[in-house]
Amino acid sequence: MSRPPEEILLKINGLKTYFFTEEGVVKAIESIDIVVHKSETLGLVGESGSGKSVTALSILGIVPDPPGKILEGEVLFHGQDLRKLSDSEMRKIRGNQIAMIFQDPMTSLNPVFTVGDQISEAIILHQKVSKKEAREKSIKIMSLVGIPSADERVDNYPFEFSGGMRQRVMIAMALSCNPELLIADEPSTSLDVTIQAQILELLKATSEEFDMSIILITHDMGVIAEMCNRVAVMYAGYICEAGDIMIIFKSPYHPYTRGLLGAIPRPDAAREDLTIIRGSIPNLINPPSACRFHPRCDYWMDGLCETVLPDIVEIEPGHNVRCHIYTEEGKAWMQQHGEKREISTMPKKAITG
Amino acid sequence: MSSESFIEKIASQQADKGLVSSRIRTKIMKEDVVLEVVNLKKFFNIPIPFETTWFMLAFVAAVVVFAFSTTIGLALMGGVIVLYFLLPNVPPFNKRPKVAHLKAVDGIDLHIRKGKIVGLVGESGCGKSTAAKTIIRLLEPTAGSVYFKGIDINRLTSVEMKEIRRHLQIVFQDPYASLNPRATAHDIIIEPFDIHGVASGDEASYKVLSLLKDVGLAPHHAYRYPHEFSGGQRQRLGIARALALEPDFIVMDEPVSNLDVSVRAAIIQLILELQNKMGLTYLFIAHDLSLVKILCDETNVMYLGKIMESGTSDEIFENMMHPYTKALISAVPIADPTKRSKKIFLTGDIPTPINPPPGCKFQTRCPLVSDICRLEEPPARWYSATHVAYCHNIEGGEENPQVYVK
Ligand SMILES: Nc1ncnc2c1ncn2[C@@H]1O[C@H](COP(=O)(O)OP(=O)(O)OP(=O)(O)O)[C@@H](O)[C@H]1O
Ligand SMILES: Nc1ncnc2c1ncn2[C@@H]1O[C@H](COP(=O)(O)OP(=O)(O)OP(=O)(O)O)[C@@H](O)[C@H]1O
Ligand code: SF4
Ligand code: SF4
Ligand SMILES: [Mg+2]
Ligand SMILES: [Mg+2]
Repeated sequence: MSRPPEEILLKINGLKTYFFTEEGVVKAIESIDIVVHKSETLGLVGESGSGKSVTALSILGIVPDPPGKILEGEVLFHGQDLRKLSDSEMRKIRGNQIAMIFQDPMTSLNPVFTVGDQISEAIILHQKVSKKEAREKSIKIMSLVGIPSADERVDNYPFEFSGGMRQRVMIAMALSCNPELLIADEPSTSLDVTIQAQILELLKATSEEFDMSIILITHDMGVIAEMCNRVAVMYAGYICEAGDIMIIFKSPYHPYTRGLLGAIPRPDAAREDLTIIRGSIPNLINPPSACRFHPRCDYWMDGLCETVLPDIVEIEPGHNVRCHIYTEEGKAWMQQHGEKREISTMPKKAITG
Repeated sequence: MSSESFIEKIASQQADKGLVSSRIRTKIMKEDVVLEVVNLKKFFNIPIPFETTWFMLAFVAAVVVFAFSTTIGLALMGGVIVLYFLLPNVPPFNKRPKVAHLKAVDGIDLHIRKGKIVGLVGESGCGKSTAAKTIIRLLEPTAGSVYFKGIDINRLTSVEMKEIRRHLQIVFQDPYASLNPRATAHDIIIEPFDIHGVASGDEASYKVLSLLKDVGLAPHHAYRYPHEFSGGQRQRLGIARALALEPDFIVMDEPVSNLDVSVRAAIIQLILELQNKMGLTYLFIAHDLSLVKILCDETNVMYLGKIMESGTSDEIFENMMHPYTKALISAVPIADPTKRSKKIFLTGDIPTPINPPPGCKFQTRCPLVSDICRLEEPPARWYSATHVAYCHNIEGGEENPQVYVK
């Protein structure tokens, strides 16, 4: 695998998105910092409710408002803050330069129009082409995403396609305008593994061919390991660790990343190697204070982690961790209490290479 | 009478009447088999509603060529516009809707020995849940037999079945749908005690608390309703209920598929703990192959209602023979970036289980397909006494597993 090139395409600083609901304020995203380089695939991984989809919606400026609101932060695309753009400027960017594949393909395809019409419409919306050209482009892009006899199937309705094919149509629509950045929210989660493999391969191939960057949202560490150059691990509205996947899978620095990797079956691992993260995912209306992971953390520093939010620490360039084990405050705490905090290594058998 | 002797009594009664062949009986006793499933089939009859098909035609605005007396037709032949308004219910056609067979399970064999965790894997809709329900006789099979400790359970009367049912439990795929929403956890777990008259009053309540504890729930959870639990907790509740009558055998239908990673690992640990503590035997249904690999002693791979390959998990994951197993396992994303594997991509459509093609079920997607696959059911090829694959075009193997028995 090649090293990710260094040109930055997207940079998110201190993003904060809340939902003001009747039950209370859902603090879905507290502070997110993400960097996406040109033509790399960044994995965004985390458990259900950790804020992955809301992050995606925030980047595109399509958080449902009300109840949602982006309160703080910058979303820099080519250095330009998308949050400062007008609605019409933003519409031009969406679909043209940044495209998204939504989590549920069935709800995002219109059942009463043919697949071809829907792809053509997406093309016409963003490019100055005639209906006929758009149709030809649609057929071309459908065969590109591996739909057999695309010239016939272009006139089919979504219900005539299988789940995997509908997902391909979604990808075809997203790719129809050669975006520079594709945000794919769980593009393969509801599909069978044999179909998932095809969809992921398709994404990989297009990203390579068109130099497209991808933010791949998933909760499957296996998908991350196969697809991504770098990964950002989310927990309850924060990125707790981000970096090169080779490093993170081999020696995670954050206790949650360690827990997540220990909880999944890895090749060559034994039953006994499966570890658990105790407790459950927090309620984001009333989340735990400071480090939101502290009630579940085996490394918790009493008096520190629940009162002071750890700063982001750069372990090495491109590898960031938000945890007191690596902060100055944490080191002082360990000295003061005469206790050591060190992340246990992954089982030897599980990782070779 | 104790349950064990009840099982023995029924088993010997059935044997005396010649209902269970002596070959199967010896095999079951010799190998300590808890469950032996022989050529099980379960078909669903699906009515094909004519009127809907007709209505669809009009909707898609295809060129409708035939006009029937029952359709109100408006034909402007001069303008070449043909409009048909088809009524959703066209009398003569909906009288006897045609029936098709959906072959959800089409002849599967399973062999489950005591204390083992046996995996059943396959893609969505291949018939895993149907097989599971048929095995514990929540559905009646269309054909085939299920022997539980030597008893042919499909020959039992309802009274006898009730006694046996205690030993055959299931944790359903969707814990929410399978738990009564208006009953508390306490009521849900105590119900089997009532049905079987095992315990009552304080004794039963005490048992409920200890079961909750066994599955990692707290006493105060007893008075909560299913919707007040998280997904993982509901799954535990389903497990507690299945354990209530101390069964020998539990079917776990995708017990962790919809759960988050951290909850998932906790349920797996629970399953293993219970196996160690109570010597339980499991049929574990899943589509997460990485999990099956490390959890299950044996694995059965299913495709469109049929078993394609069975063997110990080592045999299936390290030495798979069947082209479908190979494609399936290669497609599983591996959580180790240093091991990006070469994938086998399947092309072709997945046929519907309604009137599937003759011959091998995998023919439409198989990279090795040849003419014979479209005509004849593939034969068994045995690679060890436990490892079998069904395919026309694979190398080696024996026709008969007896070759491997010394
Ligand atoms: N429209 C909304 N109104 C209120 N709360 C919302 C809304 N959308 C999301 N949330 C909340 O924001 C939090 C993050 O949700 P998000 O959809 O980003 O999670 P996710 O990480 O994508 O999870 P999943 O893996 O289940 O898709 C959750 O607590 C969710 O309940
Ligand atoms: N009650 C029923 N009536 C008619 N068809 C049914 C019924 N139950 C299941 N089927 C069909 O039988 C086939 C097998 O279904 P089953 O639920 O056993 O699959 P499965 O392998 O458990 O799938 P999943 O992984 O999605 O749970 C499917 O085609 C399904 O549509
Ligand atoms: S900051 Fe403290 S509680 Fe949070 S992850 Fe690090 S050690 Fe654990
Ligand atoms: S029998 Fe034929 S179609 Fe079936 S798996 Fe073997 S080679 Fe493929
Ligand atoms: Mg989501
Ligand atoms: Mg099922």
